[in-house]
Order: sequence, then C-alpha cells, then structure tokens
Amino acid sequence: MARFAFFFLAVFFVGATMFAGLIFDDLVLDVTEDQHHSLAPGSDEVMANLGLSLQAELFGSTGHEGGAAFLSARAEQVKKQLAQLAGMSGGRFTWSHREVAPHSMGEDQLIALGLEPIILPDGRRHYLGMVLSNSIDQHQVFPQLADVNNPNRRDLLMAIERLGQPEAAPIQLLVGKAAEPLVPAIRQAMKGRVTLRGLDEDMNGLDPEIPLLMLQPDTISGAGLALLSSALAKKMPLIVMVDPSLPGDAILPPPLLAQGLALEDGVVVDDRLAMKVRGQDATQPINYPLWLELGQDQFVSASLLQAAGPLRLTAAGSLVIGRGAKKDELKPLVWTSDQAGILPRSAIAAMPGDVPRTGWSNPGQKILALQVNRQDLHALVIADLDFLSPSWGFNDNTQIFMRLLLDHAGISQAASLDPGLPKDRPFTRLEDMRAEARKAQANVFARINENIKNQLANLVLLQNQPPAASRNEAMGQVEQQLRDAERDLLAVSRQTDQGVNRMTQMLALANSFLVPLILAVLGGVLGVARMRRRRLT
Amino acid sequence: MNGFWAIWRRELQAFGSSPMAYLFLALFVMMNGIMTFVLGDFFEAAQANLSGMFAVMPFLFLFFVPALGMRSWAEERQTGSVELLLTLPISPEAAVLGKFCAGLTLAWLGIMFTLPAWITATWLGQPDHGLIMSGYGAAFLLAASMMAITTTISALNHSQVLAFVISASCCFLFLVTGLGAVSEFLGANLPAQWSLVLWEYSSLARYNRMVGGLIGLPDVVYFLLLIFVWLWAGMICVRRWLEE
Repeated sequence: MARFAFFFLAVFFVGATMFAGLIFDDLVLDVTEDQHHSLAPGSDEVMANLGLSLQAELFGSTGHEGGAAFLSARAEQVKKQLAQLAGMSGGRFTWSHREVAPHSMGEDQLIALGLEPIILPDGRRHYLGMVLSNSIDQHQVFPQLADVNNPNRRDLLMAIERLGQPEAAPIQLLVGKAAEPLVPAIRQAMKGRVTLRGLDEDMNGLDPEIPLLMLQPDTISGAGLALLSSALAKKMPLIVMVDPSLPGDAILPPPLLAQGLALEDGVVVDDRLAMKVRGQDATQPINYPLWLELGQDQFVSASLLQAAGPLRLTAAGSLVIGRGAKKDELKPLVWTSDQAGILPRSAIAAMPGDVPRTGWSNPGQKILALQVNRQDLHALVIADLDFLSPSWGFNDNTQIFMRLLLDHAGISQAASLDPGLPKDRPFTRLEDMRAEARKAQANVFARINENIKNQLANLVLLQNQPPAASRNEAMGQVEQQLRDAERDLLAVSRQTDQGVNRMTQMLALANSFLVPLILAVLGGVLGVARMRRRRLT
Repeated sequence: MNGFWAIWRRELQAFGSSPMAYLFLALFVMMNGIMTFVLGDFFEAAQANLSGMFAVMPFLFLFFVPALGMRSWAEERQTGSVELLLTLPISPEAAVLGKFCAGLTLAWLGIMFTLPAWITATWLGQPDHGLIMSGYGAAFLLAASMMAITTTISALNHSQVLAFVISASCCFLFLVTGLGAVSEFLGANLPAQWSLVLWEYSSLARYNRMVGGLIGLPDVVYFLLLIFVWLWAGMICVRRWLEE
C-alpha cells in the first residue's frame, strides 16, 4: 500500500509541477535593480506605434530527437517573448513557429532563408532562427537566436522598430576624402533604416532640421563653416567621426572647436605598455587612439557609457580608463596621457609603419564615443573608425555604432528599448585605495614615462638613420633601456597595489575563517562541558 | 499538529548540545568562504556580486544538508528511542514536521552565516541587492527541499551513514539534470521533450533562474511541492511503523 502511495505522490508531484508551470507561467518577478530581464518602456512605444504590420516566423529543430534541452528552453523563451510582443502590438505583430527536422528537406529551405546551424559539442546540428518580415515585403533574418539569457531581445526590437516604419529616415552625410572607403560599410549598417544624403565640402544644401553625419571632416570651406555654425546654433543633431590612422587630419571643424570640443594631439602607441600601467586589473589592452577634451559644462550620457564599455571621459584635457557613471565619480585606472604611454601625433607620423599602433586589434569590441548634450549643442563624437574597416565586415562594433547613431539622431529609441547588459558594479573602495596609492607615486610614474617617451623618440631617430653597426648597437641599448623602464613601471605598479592586495587577503580570510572559528570554539567549549558533565555523573 | 513545538525544541536542543552540529556549520561556512573568496574569482572579477558564491552553494548543500538531517530518524531507530517517541501523544505529522523544521532551522542558520559575504560586497561596491536577496531566497528553498529529502530517507534507514549517502545521491539526482553537460548528454540520447522535461524538473535549473534575479511562481511552487511530497512520504513511513 505504501509503495502505491509513493507512486501516487510521484505522479502528483510531476502533474502538479506541470500544471503550475502552465497556469503561473507569466507570474515572474524581475527583482534585479536595473530590470535586466524585463522589456523597457521604449518597447511599449515601439510596439504601439507600428506603421506597418509585421510577421515573425520562428524556425527550430529543437523539438526533434537529439535536441539539447538548453536549446529547447531557449526556443520556449523566444516564443514567450514573441507572444508578449504580439500582445503589445494591438494585432499588428503576429508570429508563427515551425519545427524542421535536421537532415530533412525542410533543412534546405532553412539554409536558403539564411539560417545558420547551431553546432553542438558532439557535432549534431540544430536550428533556432527567425525571419521577420513586414507588409511591404522587406525582411530581416536572424540566422541564430544564440543569446542564452535573452535571445537577441535588443536586436529583435530594433528590427521590429526598423521594419515597422514605412519610410527610412534621412541623414545628411559629409565625407572627407580619407574616409570615403568607409562609406559602404556605413551604408550597409544603416541599410533600410536611414537614407544618406551626400553633401559637398561647401555643405551646399545643408538642412538644419536633418541630422548631420561627418566623417573625417578635415577640409570645409568658409561658406560651409558658416552654414555649420548656424546649424549648430539651432541645436541640429550632429555626429562627427574622426580617426588619426586615416590619411587625412583627424580634426574637428572650427565651429565645434568654438563650442569647447577638442581632440587632443595624442595616440597610444603601445597597448602592451598601457596594459602594464593598468597593472593587475588589465584584462584587455587599451585600443583607443584618441582622447577628447571636454569643457566643464559637458557630460557623458549614461546610456552611451553603458554601450561604450569601461572608457570614461573626465574633466578637461584627459581621458581616463576608469569606471563610474558620472563625471565627478569616475575612478581612474590610468591617470594621465603620459602614464598611458601616449605620444604626440607628430612623433607618430615620423615612425615607421611597423610600430605597434593601437586600434588595429580590438578584442574588447568597443568603440569610444562621446555625447555632448548642452543647451546649445547636441553632438556625438566618435574618435576611432577602425571598427568600420571594410575588411572587418559587419561586426558588433558596427552594431553598437548604429545604435548610438540612430539614438542620437532621434531616429530610434534603441537606448530605451532594452535595459542591456547588467551594470558594471566595480569594487569602488578598492579602486579608491589604488588611486590614492598611485597619486602618492605620481612623480615616480611621470619620471619613468618621461624616460620611456624619450627612449621611444630616440628609437625613432635611430630607425631613420642609415643602417650601420653603430646604429644597431645604439638601438640595442635603447631597447634595453626601454625594457628596464617597463620593468620599473611594473615594479612601481606592484608597489602601489600592495595595500589593495593586503585588504583583499584580509577580507578573504575573514569571510572564510572568522565565523567558522567562532563556531568551532563554541563547539569545542560545548564538547568539553559535555565531557565534564559525563565525568561528574 | 499535536507536539510539533515539543519535537522542534527537542531536536534543536539535541543539535545545540552536540559539537557535531557546530562542526558541520563551521565546515559549511568555511568551505563556502574558501570556494568564493580564495579559490573563486570574487576579487579577480572585481564585481560587487555574489554569483560565484551562489554557484557553489548547491554543491556544498549536497554534503551539508544530508549531514544535518541524516540523524533525524536514523539515530532514533538505531538507539530504539523511536518506539518511545511514538508512544507519546504526538501525531506522526507533527513528529515529521518538527524534525524537518529543526534541521531546516539549522541549515538556514548555516546560510545566514554567509551573510558577511553580502556585507563585504556592499562595503566594497554597490551590489544589486535585489539579485542577492533573490539568490538567498533560492538558497533557502533549495536547502529546504534537500532537507525534506534527507528527513524522509533518514526515516527509511537505520544507519545514519546510509541515510547520508542515499540522501546526498538523491539530492544530486535532482541537481544533476540541470547541469549543461548532463543536459547535452541526455539530449543526445533521449528525445528532446524528455530531456527538456528532465531539465525542467531539475532543482538546479530552477535555482539558477532565481539566482539570476527572476522569481517565478512556477519555480517557487516546484520547490514547495518537492518539500510537500517528500515530507508526505516521510509521514507515510512513520505511520507504517505505528501500524507495525
């Protein structure tokens, strides 16, 4: 009888769990502070204002034999997401789901549509992708819905926003000659969303009502500058992109300089050196060739900071690699340009091509962008265009750039569509300690960096001399001195981190052993008391 | 529920007068601290969150919870005191619930002893307190479900060691299907719906969802049902002894 009871209990558990899953499926509370799992209010607005009707076709092979459970779970998550969006759209957004078995005729159709297989570690392949189309036969393919936590939530919403609008928004485009090869990549990134209207250097035909995108605008005529000044005064949305690694001059047009925006002369020449300056925190090399000078009234938009990663801009004259959401609360990891190994651009120009410049590799897939929102200025400055190189193809950086640009131009609500990744929550106390320690060692850092700067300049001079045995010997000496200086830099960095290391060790010990020690003492005392009591009785 | 409080108090007194309970608690807190702060990447990641600690906790529970709960019935049966207990005017439901709640009190006390980690994260930075609270909620529920399993398995065994081993194995089975590698293996060898069902019935999958900051009613109901079903099975065992 008891066995039957156990069996019935097991059946009850399975059935009741399943029932609860069906009935209470939507009753989920997102308790994260930044509502990381929820749709942001911007999504409501996008779904409520669709100009065209949209249809999403979800394709999956996860329900078939050999499917991985995590993929099936992901498919369920996407279905829930689509159902939620459909409910918000007032009938303008519909969706359907189709199961396609791998190795079947249907698989060819999926491949023809542009879906890509998800290859499991044991070699099996499965599909989980989507085609989103609108009523005028435009479509966007999601080859894989691969994001584990929220499968492509932000991209999906952006695509809905794009396909749901009947007309592409215009942006005016002014391109310096050096940046012309980048235009196809930008057109590709903006395809269907934005119509780019070309302007000449005189800025003939500039419409102050339409956002202006400038690429490497090194030469603009006097008439064009006057036009730009008047457009700026009308708070025209402006996006400027410059890059010193392009042949032209990476300068801002004078009307912008007059507004207090400036690009300082400088390039990080050696990302390894910069990494060492950061000491033990370094996980990624620094890849950003320029830093921007900001006036006191300017500030950096929090949403942009979130997209642009750990780069932060502080007070006038310096970019720090640091953390923090507000200008005044920034916690620098590198203090000044000198300490990050930044050289004047004139020195870079004299260097041979094989000097390891940063910006060529970009493992962090981030871009440096600065948004200035002042009463009289509405500008976005991007100071590194390497990520738009045609040889790189359409990568994550291009997508980040597109979001920044559309958001800034007021074409998209991309920034408010999705809460994005969980916020960076650094150990501010330890960073304060580290900053204090570094401030105390600032003179030593400056001396070593000055030495490195001089040695690098010597190296450049020697490299420009005709080959000779004496030149090679001198170069060897300079390289040795450079290595010594880097070692010194590392030693000083370690010294400054000593206090932080001690603190972390103390915290680790306290958390691991303090409470157990108290409990062990209590247990010991109790054991002894018990033994004594036994002896007495 | 006649006698619930008496049993609960008696069990807690027994725990309190035994150095072993302190030892288990100390071991749990120490292992948790070491795995999070010494072997884990809490300081390397430099992020004020306790995700590392909550990732380790279910596997520490595998030893800690059965160690606390193994003696609840097995010891009584071993020493013969269960017969005396059952002659007292105490209902079997009260006896099972009292023992379960006493063990659970201790297990939750163990979890509470890890709160200094939360204080540390708050002192160092600005953690997401909602996320941490959700993580602690998940840990409380997981520990409760494991304690229910252990209490019942203890009622089925005379030997504490055997009760510990079987309970730990049983709890492991509920965790293991939520591991990515196991899920992939099952997916390769079972129909997808089966592996999805096993995934959904895994305590670990639901625990991880809550640790990620999503408190779903189906997940809470799952844990409550798991506790209820195992305790009910325990009551059936105790009733059977009474009948015998």
